[in-house]
Amino acid sequence: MENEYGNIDRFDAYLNDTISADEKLVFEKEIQENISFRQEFESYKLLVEGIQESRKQELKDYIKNNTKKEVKSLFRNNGKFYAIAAVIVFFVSVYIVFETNIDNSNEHYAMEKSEDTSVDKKEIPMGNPIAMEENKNIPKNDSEKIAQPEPIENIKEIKIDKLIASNNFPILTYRDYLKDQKPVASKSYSDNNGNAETTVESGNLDKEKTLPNTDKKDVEPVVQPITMKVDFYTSTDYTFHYSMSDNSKIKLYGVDKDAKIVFLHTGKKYAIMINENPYKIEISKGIKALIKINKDIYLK
Amino acid sequence: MVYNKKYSDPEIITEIRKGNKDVLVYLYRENYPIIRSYIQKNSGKSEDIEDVLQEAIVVVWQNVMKPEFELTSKLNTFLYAIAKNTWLKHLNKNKRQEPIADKHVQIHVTKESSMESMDSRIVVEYMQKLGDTCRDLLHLFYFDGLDMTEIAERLGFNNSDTAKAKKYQCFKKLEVMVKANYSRADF
Repeated sequence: MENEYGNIDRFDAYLNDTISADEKLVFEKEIQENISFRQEFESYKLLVEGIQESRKQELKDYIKNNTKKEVKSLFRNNGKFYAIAAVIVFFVSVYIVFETNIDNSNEHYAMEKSEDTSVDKKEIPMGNPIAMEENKNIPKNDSEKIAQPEPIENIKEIKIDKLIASNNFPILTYRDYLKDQKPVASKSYSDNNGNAETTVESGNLDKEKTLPNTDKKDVEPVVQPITMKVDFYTSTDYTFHYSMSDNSKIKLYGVDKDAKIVFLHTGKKYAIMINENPYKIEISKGIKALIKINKDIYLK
Repeated sequence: MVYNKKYSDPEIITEIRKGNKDVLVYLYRENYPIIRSYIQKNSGKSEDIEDVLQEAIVVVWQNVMKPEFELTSKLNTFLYAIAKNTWLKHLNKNKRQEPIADKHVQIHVTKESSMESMDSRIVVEYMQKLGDTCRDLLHLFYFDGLDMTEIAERLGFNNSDTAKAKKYQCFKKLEVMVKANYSRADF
């Protein structure tokens, strides 16, 4: 029994099991009794098997081709994006480095966060540095005393006569420092090294203290002096950093305006205390991650 | 297709039934690690992983296309069972080292994937020589199991009768091509 489509329809129906039970019996009987019908059915099944294998291969090839393409297209389509992003990251990094004032002529020392509960755990916001110069006017006898290991009760104080500002780090007037304003243009007189200088008076940071008029741009900036002292036998850390230039000029960064800063030196070694937390400053190149003073370390 | 998109099992089934082959890539990526682990623990090589996983995914595709298909477990579990079954048959065929018994998979897969034979390869070869419409039509009918109404809609035929007539023409064309180059003795 054939129709316009030959026996293909019957073969399809039999394989798909869409014929009735009676039709199935008739079909199977014809398969057994009719050789040409059986051969035609066998050829049909082989072709169907081949069609199915063709579809399988097509699907597998799709998986294979697209799992490879996924990696390629991801790069191809986003290659430009990654390249632009890399350039942006590069320039942002350069900007950040520039803004943090990494100066080849200075030695930066980073300090760890303080774990001392007596210290404000918040990171001190970056502020303008207060440059300090080694006090060359310290009497020799005082220096000799300082060089000796100090008992825990003793706290040394040295008054800083000068506060030096580098050309790279503009210095604030005291008034500006309190108001957290932008620094006055560093059009002050320069020292022999080309650094702006300013004279300071002894004493501690004091908000109420008035300073000479600094409204005029050509007036040399004045900064509240800093009295430095250190407790040798206390060790705490703090989050700020400073830089040490080759000529022993110390610049502080990120010091809170209300911080009580004390500085001590023995001629070669330095210590700084901020809000009564002491730190030892080591004069050496490179970045020091830890400046800590404990009873085993002496300013000698 | 967004390659990073996550598909739920119902979404995967829907996409397969729409003929979206991109979901195959998704299944491949999602299941590669676990299949790799199984194959490598059972005397398998890197090339075996791809073959087994592709075979398993195709079986999943074929099963999902059936109207009566009902997912009784997670699709990944179903695929894993198929892959494991495929690999075990492969090992038995090649008489390799006995695989480690996997006691976690409880699903018993009854549908066996057909093995590619030399006879089939002859037909596969000539399927590539058919036009795209004939090839797609035959694929959708004889593998995906779509009826003529669905095929007509997907391939843009006017109606199911037109699609049916076209299918007959394509089948006969393939038959003629194969028989013209191979005698009955080759089958």
